[in-house]
Amino acid sequence: MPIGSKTFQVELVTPHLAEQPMTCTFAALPAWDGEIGVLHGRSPLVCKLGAGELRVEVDGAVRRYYIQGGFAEVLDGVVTVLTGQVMAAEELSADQASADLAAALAAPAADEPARERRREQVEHARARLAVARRAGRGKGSDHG
Amino acid sequence: MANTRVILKRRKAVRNIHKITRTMNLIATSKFRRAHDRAVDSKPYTQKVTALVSKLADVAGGQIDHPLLRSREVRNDLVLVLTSNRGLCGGYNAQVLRAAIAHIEAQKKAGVNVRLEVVGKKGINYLKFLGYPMAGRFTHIEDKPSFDHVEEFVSRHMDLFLREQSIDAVHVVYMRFVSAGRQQPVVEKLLPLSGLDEVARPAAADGAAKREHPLEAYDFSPAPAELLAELLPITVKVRLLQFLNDSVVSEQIARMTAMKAATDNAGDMIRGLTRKYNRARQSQITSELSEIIGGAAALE
Repeated sequence: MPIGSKTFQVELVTPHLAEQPMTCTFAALPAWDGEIGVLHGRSPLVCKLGAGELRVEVDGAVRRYYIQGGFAEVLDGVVTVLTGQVMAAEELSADQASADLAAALAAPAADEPARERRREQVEHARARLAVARRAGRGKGSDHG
Repeated sequence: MANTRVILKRRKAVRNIHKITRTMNLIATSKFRRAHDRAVDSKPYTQKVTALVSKLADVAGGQIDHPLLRSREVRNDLVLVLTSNRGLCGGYNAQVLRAAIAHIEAQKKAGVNVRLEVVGKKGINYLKFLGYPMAGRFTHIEDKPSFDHVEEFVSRHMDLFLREQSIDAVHVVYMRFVSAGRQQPVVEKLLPLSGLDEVARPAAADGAAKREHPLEAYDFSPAPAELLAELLPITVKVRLLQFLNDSVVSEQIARMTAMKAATDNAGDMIRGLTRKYNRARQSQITSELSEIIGGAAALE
């Protein structure tokens, strides 16, 4: 049996909604220190996520999502992604993300908490922009 | 016997009130359903975060020394009171405010400075009337508490608690939703977290029973203690979101119950007034008849 033909579930859970689990053959999680690829049978994992792109391969097609950091757990063929916000890549607009990035960079930050908030907003806006641009460039079904 | 016209006027007024309270009852019912659905929708996130904390606490519980878990002597207490913006919800606000005042007075008696923050116009007005100074007044939450609202509160509270150290504890006074028939005003400690055991308690029994993989089989990235340190602030946010959701659900239940009782009472009043009107009308007819008969007899 070729690699990637066995399936597992991916659940996206936010504070407001738990999406219907997706049955997929591959998932790439934006971990805090790089990307983690998950195939069927992966050993249990708990990892921190950064803001970035989550890719899942469902029925041979790649679905892309922007996720705003959080945590992921892989256990018994289920990948649970706990995140503050999730958006399908096609719902994102590169223009909007650019405007958000410019606004975040221009925001005043007088003290340390404000600087921390600004850093986060800039990071999120950059990640949204990258996901929107990648989604706009083409709808590739590669793993990378 | 009362004038029939006066009774009719009164019955009309009560009928109008009946219509209004019935409509408010229906609105409260639909808002309750929506609020309840929202609370239910946020449950999986809460449960999974709690389960993760429980798991990590098992692995790294002994090693963690997080500032959010460190208790210190309470000299300054921040009390956040969650009330509603609108009235006509029975004893909802009164019960929450009674619990809040009891807590504030107890803290004052113990020599603790209280910094008061109030959510909801009803609480703000009442506490202003009683002369309690308020450090924060918020009326923007309405019926849809979101994670953004929670972040706004928690980041400020954590800043005061950890960085400035100007407060030593955060207590939240709100109406806990136990079931559709039972809500309870409670004072919950939000900061500092009482301990990993308490944070992980809801998931502990579940996790221990279902855990098929030994924790050694897990890959953690970064180390469990670091993951736990990252998860603890989220735990605080999740708890506050749950408190806000409980408040909204309880408010709508209280309004639903109050409006149902008001509608029933108006219905009873309408029936009573109708009976009174019929009796007055009957006696008016009888007296008119007897007057006619009396008049006719006098003419004979």
